Amino acid sequence: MILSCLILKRMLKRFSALNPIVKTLYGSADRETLRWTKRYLAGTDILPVPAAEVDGKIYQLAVFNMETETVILLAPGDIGQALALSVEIYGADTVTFAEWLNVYKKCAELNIDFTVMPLPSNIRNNLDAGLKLFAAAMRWNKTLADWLEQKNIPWKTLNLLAEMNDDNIGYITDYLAKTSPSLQSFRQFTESVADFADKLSGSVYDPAVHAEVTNRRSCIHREIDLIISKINSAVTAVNKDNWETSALHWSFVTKNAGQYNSILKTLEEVFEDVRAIYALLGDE
Amino acid sequence: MIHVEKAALDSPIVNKLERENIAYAVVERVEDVPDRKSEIVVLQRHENYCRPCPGTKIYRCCGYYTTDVMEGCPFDCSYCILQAYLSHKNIRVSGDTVSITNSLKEIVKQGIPRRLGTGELSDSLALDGIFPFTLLLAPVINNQDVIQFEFKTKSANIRNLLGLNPKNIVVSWSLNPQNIITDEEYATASLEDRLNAAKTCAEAGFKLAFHFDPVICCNGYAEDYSALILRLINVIPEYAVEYVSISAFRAPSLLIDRMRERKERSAILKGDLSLGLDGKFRYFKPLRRDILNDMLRLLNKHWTGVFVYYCMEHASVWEKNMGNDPGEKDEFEKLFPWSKKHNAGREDAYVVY
Ligand code: SF4
Repeated sequence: MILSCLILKRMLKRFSALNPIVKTLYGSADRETLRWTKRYLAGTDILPVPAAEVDGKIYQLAVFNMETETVILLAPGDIGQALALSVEIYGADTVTFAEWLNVYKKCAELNIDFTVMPLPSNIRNNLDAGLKLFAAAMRWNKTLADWLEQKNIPWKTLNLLAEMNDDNIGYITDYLAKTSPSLQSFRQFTESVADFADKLSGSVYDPAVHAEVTNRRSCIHREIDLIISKINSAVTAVNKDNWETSALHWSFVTKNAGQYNSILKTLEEVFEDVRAIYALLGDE
Repeated sequence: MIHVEKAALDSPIVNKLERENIAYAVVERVEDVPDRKSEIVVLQRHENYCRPCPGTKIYRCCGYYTTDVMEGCPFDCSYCILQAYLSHKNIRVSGDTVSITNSLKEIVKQGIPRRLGTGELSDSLALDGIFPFTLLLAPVINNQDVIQFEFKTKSANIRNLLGLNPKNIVVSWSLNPQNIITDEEYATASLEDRLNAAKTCAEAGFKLAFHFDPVICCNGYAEDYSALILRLINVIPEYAVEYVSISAFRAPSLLIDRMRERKERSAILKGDLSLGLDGKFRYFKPLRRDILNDMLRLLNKHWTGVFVYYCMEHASVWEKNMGNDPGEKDEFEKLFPWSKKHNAGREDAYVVY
């Protein structure tokens, strides 16, 4: 209750120029026209919900899934300002990419200039790239769009997607469908598709082919990887700094003297492999 | 388009624009200028223009000093660090020539032999036809005995230089095989133009330097760099060469992001890069060690007396390829011919390996 009073007070003060009044409606406000987010707005379950009156019609500006008859009525000049106000009420810097895409779609539907929205600086400062991204995202398929809606994808990854052709987007969608990746894996995968776009063709993702085509490793690096994988069974050898140093960290577990003895044998057996690694590293 | 900040209207740089009828627009503040590479703005700053190159301890830094008279570059190399380092794309030229020369004099006062240059935050010569910092700086440089000043470029723009006393000046070129120049160093001079310009400077008495930086490992690179070195040796006389650096590509992750944002995707991004100990991406160490070694051997074979060094390379690569670790900045600096010349006779001045 205290929270909602505080929010009410703040909202009345913040939007004082828009003549806010608390009003009970006969019937309910239009909740669909400006619906761009599914998010709940803290405090508004008790509060009157903000709404805007434009050309005699009342549009709900927040908590779009809640029907209400009592609203804080604001008077922006037009529907574009009403949408901008709605974004501002949530806080422009809390808006996710998927939500911005909804705002962009609303702007297209309602003939609103997207640039009047309270865009955060990362979009505002690179407006051309931002507009290109949203235009591209409008064409993305449902699998990709749904996935992006669930995850908070970094803008740099989204910008890479925006530059991709339909085949690459199809390829990434197929990867999503086949692997359900983590956000980190998705980001890395997108980067590899961007970097090797000229070598990838079609929209069917095959993990083995992808690994081969996008393998950045030099022959000498692959050779070392191969030897390390051969060594790593009962004992593991790890270089923790991408081979900028030659330090190998060895680890193994023993539960009895017999196991210890067998580790000793293994360590002896891998001596030639270790020698081969250090030869490749130039540290014989 | 050239813009001049109101506060910089009286600067010699702007007077020169006036004299030569070069058009410019006056702006209140640099922030009023559109942030594009095609926009140049002359501004008035009062600051220390000479500072040590920001090196690290792990990767050996040569103790170079930068003189930042310009921020931004008309060229457009895919790998340019300025994309990550500067917060603006437009080119900002300092009109505060008094502070620039004062800064140089401060360095001189330290009495320590120093190498400095303008080629860190821009190309030293690309815009020298419009903003002739060579003409402005040469008299100050040549009047001092402890500084050697380097103009580093990927252009062939040497016209102003040719009328100058070459005394303490080194003119240097960054070199790459022509296919890399074409694919990654947009708008820069061709390899042959760079070499011809260098040869002309040598004939005019200038000391030269060459920077194989960044060495880029993509298809056929070993052969391409060998051919490049042989071409260099063929065109340039050894006596004119003060030093040569060889340095593999390296980049902080922000630069990698910026490179990915570019329309023309760089082949560098396909390379075997991993995060180094200083948080920068570098080629896998054995890979870069081998190419740096091959290049060093080839250079040493033909130019027996030229000082060759690695820029920002791990001590272990130095030890493996050169047989020594150059040490940290001040020690490293002493290996340069300029420092050696100045330190000759001073017992404490040499690093002994
Ligand atoms: S010449 Fe140097 S400063 Fe200019 S774009 Fe290329 S790397 Fe950057």
